[in-house]
Amino acid sequence: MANTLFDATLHLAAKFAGRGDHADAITVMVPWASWNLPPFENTILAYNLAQMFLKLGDVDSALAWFDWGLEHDRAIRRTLIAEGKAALLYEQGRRDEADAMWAQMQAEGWLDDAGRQRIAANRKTAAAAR
Amino acid sequence: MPADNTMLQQLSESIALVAKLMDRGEHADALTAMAPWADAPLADMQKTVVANNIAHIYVAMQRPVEALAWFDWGLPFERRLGRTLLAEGRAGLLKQLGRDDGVG
Repeated sequence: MANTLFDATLHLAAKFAGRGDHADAITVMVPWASWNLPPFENTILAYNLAQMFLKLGDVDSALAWFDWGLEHDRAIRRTLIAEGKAALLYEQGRRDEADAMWAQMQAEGWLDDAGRQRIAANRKTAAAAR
Repeated sequence: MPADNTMLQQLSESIALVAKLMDRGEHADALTAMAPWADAPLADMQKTVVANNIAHIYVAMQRPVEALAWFDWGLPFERRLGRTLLAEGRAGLLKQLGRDDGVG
């Protein structure tokens, strides 16, 4: 039951976001962070919340939600949140921090082939931009 | 969790959103916004508020069976508080339906 409601929440949040009601999307999603979702769902929640806060121009809150999601990301050996945070850090000019995150992802060995190529490309682009 | 909001503040914001959605006639969306709160670790007072909101959403959706079920779900919390909002809401709905189950 919980996942059905969570799926419905995500659909509703997407509907709100589609019409520019980002604050309402946040309102329906935030409570779920307290309700013991499995790690995968928490990474989806964190990623979506971070994106909604970015739409509102609130970078600090977006980074905070990425940070909240990182432990759930790591619990299931995924990099959705880590890559999201690294990308945001890079966009914010915090390139050393972004590169450190990419390097960590490469070192941890969880990336699939596409992920390895993606991260390597990111690091190469970042290095060329220095 | 990074948000500064407490759970009560989150609930308050959800209720405000639900009211907005109800004003627009977006009852299904209001239900989606409110229903998850039924499983949240809330105090009895907040449980009755959730029950009342969900029941009235179902009333607006013309689904009295579900509405009555949500009034019933909230009644134990309400009785512990010595309040009667849900009981009165339930009785009112039964009266509208032409029923009198005698629950006060």
